[in-house]
Amino acid sequence: MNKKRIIDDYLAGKHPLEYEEWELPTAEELTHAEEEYDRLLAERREPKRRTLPLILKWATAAAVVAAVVILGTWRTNTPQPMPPNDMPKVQAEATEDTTRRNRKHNTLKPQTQHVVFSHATGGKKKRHMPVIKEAPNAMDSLPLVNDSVMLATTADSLNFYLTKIEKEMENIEDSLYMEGIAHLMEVDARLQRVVNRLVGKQVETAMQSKASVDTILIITF
Amino acid sequence: MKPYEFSRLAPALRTRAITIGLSFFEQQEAAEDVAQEALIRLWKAWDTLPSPKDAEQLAVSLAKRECVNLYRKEQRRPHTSLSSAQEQVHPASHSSHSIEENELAEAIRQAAHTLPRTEARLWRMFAEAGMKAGEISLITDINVRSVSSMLSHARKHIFKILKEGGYIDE
Repeated sequence: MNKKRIIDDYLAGKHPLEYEEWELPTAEELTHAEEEYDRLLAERREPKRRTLPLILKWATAAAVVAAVVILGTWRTNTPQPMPPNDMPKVQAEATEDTTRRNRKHNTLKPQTQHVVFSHATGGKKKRHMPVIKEAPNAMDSLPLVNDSVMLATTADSLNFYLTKIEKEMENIEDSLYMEGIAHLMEVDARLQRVVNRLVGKQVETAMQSKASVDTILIITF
Repeated sequence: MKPYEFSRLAPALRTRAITIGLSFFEQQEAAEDVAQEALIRLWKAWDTLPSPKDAEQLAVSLAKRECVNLYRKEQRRPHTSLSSAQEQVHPASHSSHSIEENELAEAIRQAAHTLPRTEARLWRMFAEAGMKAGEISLITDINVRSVSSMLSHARKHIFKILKEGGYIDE
């Protein structure tokens, strides 16, 4: 049996099994194959050309969306000047809150007042404090629209807020009042600076008045 | 042309054939198959070529022809990869051979198809085209020792499968 010989010859590379045409194709076959290659290549590349404008459209749309988002973000981060005749934002929000609450809840129920805190220069815009007391008419005692001109600067705004806080807390015991103020100062470094400055000015003013009184007394004597 | 000129020109011709395959299929493996088939045929006809320019022109034509052939095979067998289209089993044309010999040939083909892709490629050049390790190295750009090692491994693999199939006596 020549089975073993066939296997040995095959493994030695002397007995090819595939009777393929290893000879060269004719010139006509080669020419035809080259034409077919060019035609197939053109067909395979054509869909890419069709999809190219679609890709460009999507890229343009993505660029426009990105530009809008970036512009919107930039405008949001830019501080907007407060219109002089408009109601201060804190008052507007407080009034809006109160109005909304009045619509939502029964008017016979006792209403609570939120202390709304805001920086005029941006950043953290609104800070809701916990409910401190029931103050149905607390907003009436606050400086309102006519005082808005006075809130042009940051220090004035903080003065306004401090006044507001004082009015909110005037009926509370000293310990609770101090605790509330301490909490506010603890969470806000700017408030600490402003309060320190105000206290410093008050002390300086008091010292100056005391010195002038002393001088008058000395002159008198 | 002389055989030694093949070793001088083969790397450049291989690069050219791979470029043609890549521009058509955009797949490295398919391009390697195209270059291999084109260079095997070019090597078979090497001594009939008058000049290097003719060899380059023929290599380009053969590479394009292989691209078309591979593409058609792939179109005929849409659910198989290019590699499997390349490695499809050729029908046994040994009508004069006995049924037993045809069965053996089919078993050998099946054993060869179980080789890893690179080894199968080298083995095809060795067993079917009758090329030596040095010539295979030129066409595939693989080191000669690596070619010899992979051919040896392929030979053992096929032998083992045939033995397990009962085609080789103990």
